[in-house]
Amino acid sequence: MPATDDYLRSIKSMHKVFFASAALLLAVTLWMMWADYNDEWRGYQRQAFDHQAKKAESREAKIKNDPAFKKNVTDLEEKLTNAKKSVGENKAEVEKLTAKAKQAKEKAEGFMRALKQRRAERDVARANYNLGVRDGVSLVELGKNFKDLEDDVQKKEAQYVELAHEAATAKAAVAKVTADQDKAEADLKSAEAEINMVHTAIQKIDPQTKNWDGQPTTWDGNLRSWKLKLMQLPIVDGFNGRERITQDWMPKLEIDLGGMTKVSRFDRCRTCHAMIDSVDIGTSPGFPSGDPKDGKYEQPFSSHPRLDLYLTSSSPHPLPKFGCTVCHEGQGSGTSFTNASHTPNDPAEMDAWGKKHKWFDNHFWEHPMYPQRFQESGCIKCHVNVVELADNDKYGASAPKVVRGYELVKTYGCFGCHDISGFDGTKIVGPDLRLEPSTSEEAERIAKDPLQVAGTMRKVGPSLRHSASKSDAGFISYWTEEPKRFRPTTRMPQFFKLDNQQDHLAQVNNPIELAAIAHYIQTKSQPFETLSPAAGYKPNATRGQELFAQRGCVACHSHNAVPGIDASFGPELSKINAKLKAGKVGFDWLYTWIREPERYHPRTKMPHLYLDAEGTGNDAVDPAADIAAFLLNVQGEIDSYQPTATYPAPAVNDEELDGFVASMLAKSLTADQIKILLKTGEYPVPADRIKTDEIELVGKGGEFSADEWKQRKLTYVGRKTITKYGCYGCHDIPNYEYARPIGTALQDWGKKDRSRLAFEHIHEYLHHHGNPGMGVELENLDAKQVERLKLASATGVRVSKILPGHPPDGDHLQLDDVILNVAGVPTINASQLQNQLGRSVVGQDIPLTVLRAGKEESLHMRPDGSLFDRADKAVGRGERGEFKNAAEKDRELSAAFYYESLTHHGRPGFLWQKLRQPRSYDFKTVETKSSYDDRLRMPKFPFSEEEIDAIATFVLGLTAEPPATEYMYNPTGPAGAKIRGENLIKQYNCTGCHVLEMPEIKYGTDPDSMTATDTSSEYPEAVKLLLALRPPRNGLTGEKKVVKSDGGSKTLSIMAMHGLVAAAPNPDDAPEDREYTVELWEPLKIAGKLFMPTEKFSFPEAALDSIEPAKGGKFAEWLVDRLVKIGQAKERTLAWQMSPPPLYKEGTKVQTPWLFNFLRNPGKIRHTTVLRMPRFNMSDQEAQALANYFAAVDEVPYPYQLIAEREPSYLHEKDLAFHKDFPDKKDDYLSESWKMLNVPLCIKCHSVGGQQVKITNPATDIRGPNLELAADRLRPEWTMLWLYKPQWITPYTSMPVPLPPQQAGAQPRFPELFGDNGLKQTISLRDALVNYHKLLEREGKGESQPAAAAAKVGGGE
Amino acid sequence: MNHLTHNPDLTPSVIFGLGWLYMLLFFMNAAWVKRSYALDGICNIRLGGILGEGQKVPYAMFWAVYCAMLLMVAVTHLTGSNNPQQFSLLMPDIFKWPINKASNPVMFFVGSMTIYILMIVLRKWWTTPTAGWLLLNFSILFMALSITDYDFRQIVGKPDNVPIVAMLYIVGFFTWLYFKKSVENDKRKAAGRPLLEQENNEKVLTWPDLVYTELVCMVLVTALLIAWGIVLQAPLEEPASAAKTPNPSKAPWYFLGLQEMLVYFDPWMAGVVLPSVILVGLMAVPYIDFNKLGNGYYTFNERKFAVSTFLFGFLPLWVAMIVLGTFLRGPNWNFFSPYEYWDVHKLELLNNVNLSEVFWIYGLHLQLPVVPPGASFPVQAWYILQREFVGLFAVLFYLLALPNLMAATVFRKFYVRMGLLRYMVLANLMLLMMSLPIKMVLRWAANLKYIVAIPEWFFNI
Repeated sequence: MPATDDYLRSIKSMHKVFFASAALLLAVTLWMMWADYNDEWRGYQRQAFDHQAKKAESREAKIKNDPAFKKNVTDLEEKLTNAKKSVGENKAEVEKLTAKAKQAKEKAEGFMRALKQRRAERDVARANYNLGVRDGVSLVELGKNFKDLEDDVQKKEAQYVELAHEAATAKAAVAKVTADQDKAEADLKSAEAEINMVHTAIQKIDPQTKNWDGQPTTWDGNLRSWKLKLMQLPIVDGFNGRERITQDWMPKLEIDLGGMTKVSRFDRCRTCHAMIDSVDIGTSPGFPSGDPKDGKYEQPFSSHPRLDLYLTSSSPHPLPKFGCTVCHEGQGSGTSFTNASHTPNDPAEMDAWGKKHKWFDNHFWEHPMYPQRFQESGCIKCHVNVVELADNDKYGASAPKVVRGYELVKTYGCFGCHDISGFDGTKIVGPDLRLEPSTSEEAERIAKDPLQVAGTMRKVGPSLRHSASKSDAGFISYWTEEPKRFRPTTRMPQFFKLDNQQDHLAQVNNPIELAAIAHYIQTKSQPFETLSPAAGYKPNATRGQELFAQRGCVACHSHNAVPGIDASFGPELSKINAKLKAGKVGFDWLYTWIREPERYHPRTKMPHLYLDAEGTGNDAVDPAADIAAFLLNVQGEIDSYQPTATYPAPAVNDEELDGFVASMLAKSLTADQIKILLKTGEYPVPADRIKTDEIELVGKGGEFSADEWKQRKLTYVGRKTITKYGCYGCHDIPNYEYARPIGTALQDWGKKDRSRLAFEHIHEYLHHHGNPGMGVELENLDAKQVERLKLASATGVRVSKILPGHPPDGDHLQLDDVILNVAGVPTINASQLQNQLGRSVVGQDIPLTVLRAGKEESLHMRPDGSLFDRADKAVGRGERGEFKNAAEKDRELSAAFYYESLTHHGRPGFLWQKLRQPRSYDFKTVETKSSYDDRLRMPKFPFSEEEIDAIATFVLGLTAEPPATEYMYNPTGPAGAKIRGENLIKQYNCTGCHVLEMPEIKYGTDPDSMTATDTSSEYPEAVKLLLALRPPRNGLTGEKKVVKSDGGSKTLSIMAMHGLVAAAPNPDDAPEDREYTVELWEPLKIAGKLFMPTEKFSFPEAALDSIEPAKGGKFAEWLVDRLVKIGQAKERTLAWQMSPPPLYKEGTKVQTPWLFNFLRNPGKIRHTTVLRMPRFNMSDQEAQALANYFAAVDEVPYPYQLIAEREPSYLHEKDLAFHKDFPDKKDDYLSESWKMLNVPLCIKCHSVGGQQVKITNPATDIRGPNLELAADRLRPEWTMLWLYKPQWITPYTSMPVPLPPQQAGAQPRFPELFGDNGLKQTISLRDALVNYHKLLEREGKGESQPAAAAAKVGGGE
Repeated sequence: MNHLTHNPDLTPSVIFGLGWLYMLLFFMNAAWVKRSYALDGICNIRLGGILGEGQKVPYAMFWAVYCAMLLMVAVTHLTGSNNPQQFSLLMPDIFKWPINKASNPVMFFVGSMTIYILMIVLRKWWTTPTAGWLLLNFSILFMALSITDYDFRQIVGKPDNVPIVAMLYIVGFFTWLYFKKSVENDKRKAAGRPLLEQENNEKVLTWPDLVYTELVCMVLVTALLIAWGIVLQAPLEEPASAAKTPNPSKAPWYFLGLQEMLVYFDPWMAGVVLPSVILVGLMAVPYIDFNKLGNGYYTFNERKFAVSTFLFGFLPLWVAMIVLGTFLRGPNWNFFSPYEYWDVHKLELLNNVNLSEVFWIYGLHLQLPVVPPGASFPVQAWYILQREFVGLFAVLFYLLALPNLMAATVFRKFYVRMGLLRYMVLANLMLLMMSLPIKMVLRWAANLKYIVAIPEWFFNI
């Protein structure tokens, strides 16, 4: 339409505007398409395809260039050519046959086409007939029609069979002629199968115009690559393009969206992490993670590092069932780096991500990915028992950090104040750490309640119920004020002298609180009846020291006087003589405690050690008294004990006490009432109406005497203070039987709403404090400074500048001070000192020695500096890569991480600071809190930053969001028994004495040069039984080690064996002569050769790869050394017999019911040991679980075992065989066996058949266990093996092989029994032992005579 | 190292973005210089006689100087974004401080009322192109400088607050346009000249003038929406949770005026009665309106009452409340100054009392009449009546007596011309509209919570 003047605007310019706007619309539409095409994940996928193609290409090249492959292909090709040639020679015939076959085939096929038509017609006729039946019409015609057709079809089918046969015959004739060629072709095809497969894969993602063998595939390649390019174009790629979102759907692993709803989990992680589950060989990662420079791959292109444990279908966490985010967290549905809620591991990484990925903290997603440091937190969601993550048979230590956190929480007893309930009703929601019911009534009530599960943890501290019998009030307040001052290794946290107790009010109140706590504990202490050594007994402290060492005390405790072993399970005892009451009272207390610990504390973990007095008169030995004398350093009379230190009874100012009491009462009484009460001591409310701590202020009959009133007030303040600080969370204290834990419950702390954490002014505090620093700059001393300061030497570090701001508490440093020594560590240089400070606990008092103006001075200060500065510096250094070593980098960036988390109100940061400086959250809030009681109470534990990191990992995993039941790992059966057993072993420190797993020794060897153990002189049955009981392991690890030996170097295979080091290299020898000798404890297979236990291997020191120490048994090993050293044992094997036995493969040895009984009430078995198995304070369930554990670990049946050798059927069979072999014997098999047992053989060392063993020379003879025990104690197969050859089980045993295979022409041993057949005799011994009780009753006491001279060596078991 | 501090200040992308904004402003003003040069003429600068006779310069020169400064600022921003820590073109604290100090709901309301009044009084001045341009420049500069403040940026820069900023400019522009045309028409009327609408007969053809224009607009708006969708991603926040609600919980931006009313009224009043009255009132306008003037053309003088009333309801009571609710109400619905950190821990003194309490407790020093527990309805009603009679009386007076009083005094002319029914509707609508500012003033001045408080029946006024 032409523009006219009638129009408002010129139509031409309107067209132009329209064109421009349409162009704009087109442009933004294209922009939109581009934005979609340019999505972050597409780029990653494209690159992933490149990586995959490159990898496949390199694999193709590798195969192609493999000489073996090349040769194979060439050979096969040649074969094929030859075969073709020979076929070609018969060309005419082959052609004739082929033509014939073709003709026959065509004929058969043609016939088949006709047949198919007829079949169809027949089917129609049948259907018509059937329809006719339905419609009730005449069936004559229809029936005939069908019949005719059916006949015709039958006839034709027969004809077809003949034709088909003809065709097949003709084809076979052709095949016969060309058989060689066909086979060559097939072989070639299979040889090329792998490379063809790889090439096909390449063709799909990176089309080539040449086949792998160089054959051009131009058309195919070009077409494919054009198609690929086309499919990758924007928009087109939406239609089945190459790049696409990869989605894993886990409908049962729901995500909790803030409590409103739960949704199925969709993980799109693999969209970018495309190769995460690629395997190479076995479960090794296809795309190993690492630096691309080393030919490895960076995320997101690398494979998961632990594909044996995750993602693969053979792993316990297959990808389709678990996905990614259930462990890692993060937003699985996100398809960009930031939307996936990746979380950086430290602020330096955060900055790097910000630059690289525009990363920001998407705080709207409630489940951000765990940063690397908390990776293991997710494990305990399903693995609520935690311990199985510590050391798994199959997967090793899969989550050591979270296990460490868990152990720390358990060891330090966090659950005393913070409930960690693993149950919601009876549904498991997470790890369960709760105190056990404190009274039997409560335990009973919970047991009856089907909706409750009782806690299982014991209070970690000692009982204070009878405390007055042990220590004085002075010591208790001295100890409470700062436990570490008395015992630096104590686990008791510090409640006083902390950040929020520096003001006047606290300075006034704290001494009252300390005095009051001690007063309360002493006044309320219940009477305790101690034991005493026999009257007139003079303890021998020197003997006591040896008994202390030998009777197992040092398996849990350490003491300065017994060096070389450093156990920390129980308290360090060097200073115990400074804390107990003086005189006989203190001595008797310790005596009682050593003899019968459960008498003082029914729930103690200290076992009953059977330290009973022996002998009479002058020979009397009371080991407990001797040990007590040693510990208390008593020389002479018991009464002479005087503590090495005295602690003045705390003094309390009356006025201040009144003020404190008044402030405590302010909430329950009026000011006037308080005034009257303090004056008269008359409480305005009657006693029966008071349920709170105020009850302590109420007398039964009104007023008190002035002195008693003061005591009452002190008791009241003590009770209030104990209530406030929750001392009863760790200690058993009278009147606190039903008190609840005072702290926040932690079972869901890992998802606690961050707005509910009280950060207060922590940010302001940390800006200036919270980092160990001395408020100065330090500098190494150089010659110039040494001269200027007129110093004698250049040791120490100079204070070069006093930093502005608030100096740390304590003494102040001055310019030019030279620091010589900090906390007992001599100062070498500035960086060493910085390092030392960095590792120290903030706010801890440290002593310093400085050189000031030529004089040495001792200072005390509390290092404190700006945490912000530290974090800031760490981030800078991290970004510039300036850290010297990984440990320092970890530590400093870790601190920066937590600081950053704190400033953004994160849970990890809160927890970290809470554990480092619990009271720092009271910074500047003390001033505005209306009540003294409102101050924070969390005590300070002596944790290092690294330990806090581990605890945080555990606590952040406590989310009480259990996944679907089938995902929970709470197994029953052997796996469950192992878990429970591991826990108990930790709880009772079984590994303190016993070796549970032998050390693993790895060294390089040449398998070809080794000679298998000669077993020709053993019973073949014995060898068979050994291999069945202990299947041989493959000793070769597959790793190699290059060992240098004189002149050259050899590549040796590394072998691993379980056993003991029999001889360590002598450091005095020349390096090339130093040798190890190790003794094997298990059957081992190396390169097809079999090695039996007791085999000794020697190898040069240089070949050693590693010795992984035994699991447990530190004390046993230490004791062996000691016994040898002091000459109590002549040789190591004997020393081993005197020490706690290894429990290696204990499950295969003992019957579980016996072990249960033994654990509940351990009787004396061995006569060789210097100590006895103590009785632990364990419940029936615990003993049962522990007994089951050993069987479960060794995969033998439990809790009940069938003893087949007692079954009538077995005995009947044995009888028949026996009478067949020895027809003239009248007795039955068992009676004959009983005779065998009672011949003068076993009795040499063992009491047997009701007769006591006669030891003629106690110095040399070894007394074995009473054989009466064997029947119920030992498993029959194990007994059998032991009788065959004891050394195969315990190489160090003194028990000889009772009846070794007889050599030809040897003297007959017991000719009248079993025809003197050693094998039969040995078996009969076993059967007699198994049926011991029955036989003893039937046959009565044995009558055999002990040999005149007992064997020099006897049984060790 | 930004991450270690709680309030990371400027970031390179902010500075860079501001650079482009200043650049845009530069181009806009460059065009203005051209226009000014053509239209504004010359001024004579004497500088108090230093320049003697004076120097004649075109007004456009000032704009040109301003323009040059803008260019420099823009270049500084675009090239200096690498080092945000040391970037110094910030909103000076000397401005922030007084604004923060003076900010509170009272000042905000008084301020918006002042602007409303000035807008009407000064309509002749601010509708001139130069004044309009100055105001636009001023507002953009204010925004740009304020953006350099962390806390301001956190609020205004949220993707879901972008439409509100746009709305402010659009409302400003259309109000300006209305006043400009009205002033022009009023001038013409006074001079006896024909109205704008009569002079430029604006009747046009449906095709192509209307439909074609509409098509072009549609295309442009679509393009704008697509571009917006790509550049500013939809703000997706946390999953809804009954256990943890966002703080502050805010309605969609267009309802924030209503939400602000909740501060002063019981939910049923603010959420049900008043919105209904607004809708019904707007529907009733044509029937109430008896002024035949002003149909089909812009005018202010001929419809002073209607326009002022509408603008009062729309600008200070609706738009300003949206701005208040969006930008200035933070956690716990506390009032925050534009440059103040939204700290959850901020606490405002909220100790409001009901009128009944004022009367009985503070006035008569007596206890409130208490309904005996388990009383029957009539007994309950009796006690409540006793307790609330002052408030009920006040409300009845406001709604029943006041219209009559007004009819006899200030609205006498209206009453005469409208008749009883129409007048009563008008008067009640007016009174209901006025109830919001009245209630606000009572709250601020006397901490008054409810005039009538009957929580027993969920009835509070």
